[in-house]
Amino acid sequence: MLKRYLLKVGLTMSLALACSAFHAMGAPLKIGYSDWPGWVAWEIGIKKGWFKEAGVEVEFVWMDYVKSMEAYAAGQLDGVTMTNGDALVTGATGKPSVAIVINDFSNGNDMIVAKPGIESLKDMKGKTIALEEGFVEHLLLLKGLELNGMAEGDITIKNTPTNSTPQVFASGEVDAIGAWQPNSGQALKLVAGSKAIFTSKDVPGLIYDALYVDRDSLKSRREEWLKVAKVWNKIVEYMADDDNLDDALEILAGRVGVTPAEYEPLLAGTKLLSAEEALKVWEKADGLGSIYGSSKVVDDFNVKFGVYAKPADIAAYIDPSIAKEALGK
Amino acid sequence: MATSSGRHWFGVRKDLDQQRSSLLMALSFLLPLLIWCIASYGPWWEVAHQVQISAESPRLQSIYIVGNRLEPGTWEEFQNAIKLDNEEILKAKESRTPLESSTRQNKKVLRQIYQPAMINGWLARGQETDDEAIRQVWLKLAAGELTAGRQEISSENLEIVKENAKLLQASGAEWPTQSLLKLLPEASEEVARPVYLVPPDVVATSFWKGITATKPEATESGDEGAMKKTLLERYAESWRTIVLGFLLAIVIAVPLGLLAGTYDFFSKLFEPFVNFFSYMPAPAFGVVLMAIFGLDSGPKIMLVCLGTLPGAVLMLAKTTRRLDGALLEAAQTLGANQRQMLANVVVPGVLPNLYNDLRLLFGTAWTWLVIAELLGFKSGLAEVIDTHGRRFQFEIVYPAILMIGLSGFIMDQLLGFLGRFFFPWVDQPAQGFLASISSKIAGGLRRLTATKEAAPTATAAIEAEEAAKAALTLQSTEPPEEPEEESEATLGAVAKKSEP
Repeated sequence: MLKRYLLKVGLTMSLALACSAFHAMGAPLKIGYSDWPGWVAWEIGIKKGWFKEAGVEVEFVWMDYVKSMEAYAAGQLDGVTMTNGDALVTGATGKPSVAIVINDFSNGNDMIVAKPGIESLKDMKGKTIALEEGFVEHLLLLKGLELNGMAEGDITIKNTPTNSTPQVFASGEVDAIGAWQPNSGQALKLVAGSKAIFTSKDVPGLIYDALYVDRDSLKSRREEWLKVAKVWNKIVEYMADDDNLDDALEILAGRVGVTPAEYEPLLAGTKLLSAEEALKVWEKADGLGSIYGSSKVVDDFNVKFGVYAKPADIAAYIDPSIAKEALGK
Repeated sequence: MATSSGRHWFGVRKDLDQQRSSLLMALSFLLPLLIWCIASYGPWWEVAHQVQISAESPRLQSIYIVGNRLEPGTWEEFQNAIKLDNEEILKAKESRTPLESSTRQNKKVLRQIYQPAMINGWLARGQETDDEAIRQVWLKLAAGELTAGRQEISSENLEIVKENAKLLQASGAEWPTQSLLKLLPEASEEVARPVYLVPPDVVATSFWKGITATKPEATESGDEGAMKKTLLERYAESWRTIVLGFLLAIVIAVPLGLLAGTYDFFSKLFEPFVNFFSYMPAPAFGVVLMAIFGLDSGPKIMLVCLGTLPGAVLMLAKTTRRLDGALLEAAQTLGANQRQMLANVVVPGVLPNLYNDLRLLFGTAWTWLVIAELLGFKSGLAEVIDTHGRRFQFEIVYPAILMIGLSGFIMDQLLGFLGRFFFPWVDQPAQGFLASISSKIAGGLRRLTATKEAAPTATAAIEAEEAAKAALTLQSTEPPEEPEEESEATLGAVAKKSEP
């Protein structure tokens, strides 16, 4: 009697386990995305139902940028949109990941915005700047300092969440801020006469924005990720046509909560990469034209400035095979 | 007594009469409101320009849209930039090498007429990207077929409209490839208050709009974006988070507190660690909670719970320990066993104070709400506060903050008021706001209808009633407080609410 009972329990439990395993297989891919124009563009695929069309179940989770990386590190997301630099930081301190789609490179939207009267980074000597330490704007500042022949200690940094920088800038507490759009644009508007004194346009390719995914998830659900990459190619193609721009802008602006007219200039500061353009970036090379070279530059900076201790294995963070396969190459 | 000292506003340790205390209570709310009004309606604010017709220029780093407010200096810079752009276009035209422009660029120039065209009724809402309709407006305006009613268009801009209409007509159905002239920016004059100083009337209107808003239509993908929920729905979300978090905390805290307060064994087993834990900041566990409970409402509820729990255990244990020892001795004398003592003496004995503790704890739970709601997916009123606060839309932020404040306050008063009915034998030290308002309204009505003698009689009746209640009080012979190892904060809170 007892034996039969135990058998029954055992059967039920294994059935339940099998069910949950099956469920995990069928669960949608969870991707965290945030308010950078190159990532908001995923919204077009969502709104147009292209993921469904492609036969892949994806749940896009709209989050604050840093929180999305935290949620990814906490194991709640299968993938997250981040810059190549931040992927290294998240990998060193939280959870490693691998890039499968390069969305864009920042072409001016990442800015150091300074008070009226400050005309260049050189004028910032001895002044304070508010930015999020260890993340992408910090890198931009350090690169700017290097190009201007200045030392890190020339500027005092006040660690501030990027989304709060406009408020901090408006309060007059600091002389400059480092932020990306739409925050940087907001800061420019809030303080009359303020100016962007150094932007990512001065160092194109320093900041690549990509979709980074969990390494295990990529292995076990490769087909699904491939479909996601294909949808991205469709999105970029759609946005490249001027006639679709109004429709695209309405979707993008609606997600962020601004008007399409306000959103349009943000696209100019984001160089969205077509599938063909991205292929070049995927190629292994030195310098900022390749994601390998760009990540190497970032890695050197991160180690030099103590964001993490040991250089990262950059190749482990990059997987061009999905992008190539999505193009049939 | 209260009535005899009522003549004076200031008397050392003297109660004011009902009329004066109601007046002061009203003032305590009216004074801050008055300061707010003076600050926002005062004559010290200069003029700002609110954009009505905008334009874009590569000379400017910012894009200004209709509704933006600009300081006089920025406004001048803006206008000059557009004027320079137009001069360049005209100069190039005169030298017979007109500037080229993309269709998209020209469409954007024409679209700047949309706002006045809509206000004047020439275009309908939602036609801001209907380029053909907009083009017709330009042509008709140039031909003098349209006249501005509600929003005038400056004569300079009418000249620009006519200039551009020539190009539009020349290109027929196609779009011109030459650069069109840009409309000069126009603005209405506004009071240049700082963005965070929203005047009371705007907050009130926005509050009303928020709570009466109907649900917007769901999008095709069923996505619940930042703007898709009404304020009331978010309010309900916040309530759910706080009530569930609080309930979870007290479900754990009440038994632990009762046990620790009754048995020294449990006291020594639980309290030292709980006390230590209460000093650790709950929000620091945010990422951990997210990792364990996912991104939805789980981590939020757990944060409210985690924030409320340690204080609750300590406070409830303290309350239980303060039960009159004579009651336990009497029960023992009557032959009660351990279980009976706990169930029939301790629990009923501490119930009124327990209720008061829980009421206070519910108040502290509100302080965790905003932090909790920003974990994982943002939700509830905190989402409104955070999202719109970042966009400097304070007229939407303030009503949400007000809702949290009012809810906490009213809930506390309501629970205090109800407590008087649940435990009528307990002498309530501080009268609840609602209770005092209701008695004050009743008193005011009485004063209006009856003669002056009626008031003292009523007061006497109330006093007699309270004396009767006091006689019923279980813990009237409470021993003086003994110093114990609990934190100052817990001691303070407990002492404050159980003054003899």
